[in-house]
Amino acid sequence: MTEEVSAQHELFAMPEQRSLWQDALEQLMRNRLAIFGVFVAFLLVFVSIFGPWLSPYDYTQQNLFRINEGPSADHWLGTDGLGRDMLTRILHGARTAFLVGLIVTIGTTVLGVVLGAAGAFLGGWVDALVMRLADITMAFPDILLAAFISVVFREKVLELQLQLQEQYGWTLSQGNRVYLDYLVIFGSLTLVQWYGKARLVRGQILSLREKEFIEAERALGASNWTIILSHLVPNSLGPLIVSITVGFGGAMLSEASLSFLGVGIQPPGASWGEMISDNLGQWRFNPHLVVMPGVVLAIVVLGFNFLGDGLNDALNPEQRRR
Amino acid sequence: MLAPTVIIVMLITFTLGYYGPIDPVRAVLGEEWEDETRYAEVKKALGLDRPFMIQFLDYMGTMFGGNWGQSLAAFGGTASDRAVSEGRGAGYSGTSTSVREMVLGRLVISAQLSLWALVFLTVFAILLGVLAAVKQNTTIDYAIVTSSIVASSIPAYVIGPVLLIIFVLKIPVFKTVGGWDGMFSRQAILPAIVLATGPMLVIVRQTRAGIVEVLGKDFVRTARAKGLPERLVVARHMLRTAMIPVLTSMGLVTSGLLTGSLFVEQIFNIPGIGKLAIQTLMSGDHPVFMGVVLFQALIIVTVNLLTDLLYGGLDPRVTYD
Repeated sequence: MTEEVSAQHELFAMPEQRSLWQDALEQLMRNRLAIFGVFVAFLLVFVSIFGPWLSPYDYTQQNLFRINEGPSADHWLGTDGLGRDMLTRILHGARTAFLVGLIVTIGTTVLGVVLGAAGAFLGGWVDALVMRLADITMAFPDILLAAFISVVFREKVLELQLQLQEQYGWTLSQGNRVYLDYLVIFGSLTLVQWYGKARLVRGQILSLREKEFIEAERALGASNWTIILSHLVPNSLGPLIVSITVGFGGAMLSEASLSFLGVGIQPPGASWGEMISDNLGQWRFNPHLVVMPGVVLAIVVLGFNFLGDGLNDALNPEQRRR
Repeated sequence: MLAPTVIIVMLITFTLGYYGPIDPVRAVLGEEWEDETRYAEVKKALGLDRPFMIQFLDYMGTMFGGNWGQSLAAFGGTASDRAVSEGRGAGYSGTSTSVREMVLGRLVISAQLSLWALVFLTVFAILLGVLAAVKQNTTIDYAIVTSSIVASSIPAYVIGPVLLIIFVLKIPVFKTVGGWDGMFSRQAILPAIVLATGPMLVIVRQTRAGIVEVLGKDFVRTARAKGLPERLVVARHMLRTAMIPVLTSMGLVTSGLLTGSLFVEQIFNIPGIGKLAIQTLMSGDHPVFMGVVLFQALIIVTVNLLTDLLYGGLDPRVTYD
C-alpha cells in the first residue's frame, strides 16, 4: 500500500509542498507596486524612529529672519511662515502619522476582533448588539463624528490633566500639549473605525463555520478550541492582515484629515495635514510649502494602498481579481 | 430598522453636544458671561436649565416636528456677530437663523457640486472602465487601473491645491478661484473635478469587472456574429448588462459625495454643507452642527437602505426577510 503510494508520487512528480505563506510571499515579491509599498512602510518606520537625529533643527525651532524660503543648502526643503525647517517638520510629521497609524490600528483590531468574535460565537443578543452598534457607527459621517468626539474630549482630557496636576503635582505636559492631541486622536479614530474589522471577523467566522472541512473536523470529534486555533484563525488571518494594512493607511489619512480641519494635531505639533492647512493661505506665493507635505502624505497613503492590494492578491487567492 | 438607528444617532450627537467644550451661553454672551443675571437669563432662554432627559426629549420633538431648532445666532450677542462675519445663514448670503433653512440652503450648493462630480464620473470613469476591460491585461489597462488608484487614494486637500497651482499659477486657465457663483460658473469646474476623484476607483473597477465578466458570453458572440460593429457591441450589449452593479453603487457614491465634500468646500471656500459643519463646530454653534450631522446620517442610512432594496429588485436571487 505505502509502496504503491510512493510509486504514484514518483510517477506524477508531485511538486514540493509549500505553505500558503510561502506562496503569498512569492506572489507579493512579484508585485512591483506592493514592493514600493513595503519600501514606503519601512522608510516610514525608520524616519519616525530616527527622524529627530536626521536633521540639525528642532521641529518647533523658529527663525523669523528666514521665513518662507525655497530649498537651500541650510534648509533642504525651505522654511515655513514662521521660519521653521520644512524637512524637520515633515520628518516629525512622519512620527505623528506612524504613531497614530500604529495605535489606532492596534485599538481597532483588538476592539474589532473581540466584538466580532463575540458576536459570531455567542450569537443571540450579543450578536444583535454588536451589529447594531456597527450600524449606528456606520450611519454617521465618519470624519464629522471623529471631529466632534475629538473636540469634546480634548477639553475633558485637558481638565482631567489639570486636576491631576493640582492634586498630585503630576506634570505630564511641560508646556507642550501635543501629547494631548495624540491621545484625543487615538481615542476618536478608534471609536469611529472599529466596525469594519468587527464585521469582517464576524463574517469570516460565520461563513467558515458552515464549510465542509469544519463539519468534517467536527464529525471526527475535534474540540471547539482545536477548530478555532487550527482552522478558524489561520483561515481568517489573510483578510484580517489585508484589512489591518489598509486600515493603517486609513488611520494616518484620517489623522491628516482631522488635522487639516483644525481639530487634530494643534500647532506647534507637526502633522502633514496641519502643515497643509497652515500653509494653504499662501499657495499663490509659496506653493512649495503646500505641495511638499501633500506629496509626502500622498506617497505614504498610496504605498499602504498598494501594499494592501498586493497582500489581498497574495493572501486571498480565491478572490483574486481577473 | 431606520427609526431606532436615527434616534440613537440623535442621542449620541445630543450627548456630545451637551458635554461639548463650548458653553452655549458663553458663545451667545461673549465677554458678558460673567454677569450672573444675564447668564441665568440666557440659560433659561436657551432651555439649558432643564434636566438632560427633558432637553433631549424636547430636542427630539423639534427634530421630528420638522422644525430643527434655532441657531445660537438667533439669540443675538457674540454668536450672532460671529455668524454674520462667517457669512453663515440660509443660502449663500441669507440671514435666517432656523437650522433647517441653514442646512437646506447650504445643501443646495453641495448638491450642485456633487451633481457636477457625478457627471464627470459617469462620463470619464465609465469610459475608462470600459477601455480598461476591452484592453484587458495590456499596458493601457494597467495604466488606467493604477492611475485611478492614485487619483482615489490621494485626499482632496492634496489634489485640490496641486490642481490650483497647476491651473492657476503655471497654466493660467482659471483666473478667479474659490467661492461659489452658481452651478454654471467656471469656479465650479475645479472643485467638481477634485470631488470626483474620490469615488473614481470604485466606478472604474466595477465597470471594468462588469465588462470583463460578459466578454466571452454567448449574447456578445451573437451580437458580433450578426455583424454589429465592436463599438455597438460594447455600448448596446455589454455596457447594459455591466451597468447594474455600477448603478446600484451610484447611490452610495452620491451619499459619499454629499457627506465628503467638506474638504473640497474648505479648500475652495465654497459655502456648502461641509463648510457649515466645520464653521459651526469651531464656533460652538451646536444646534446647527448637530443638525448637519443628523441630516447627513439620515442621507447615509436612507441610501444604504435604498441600495439594499434596489439590489434586491434588480437581482431576484437576493431576498430579505
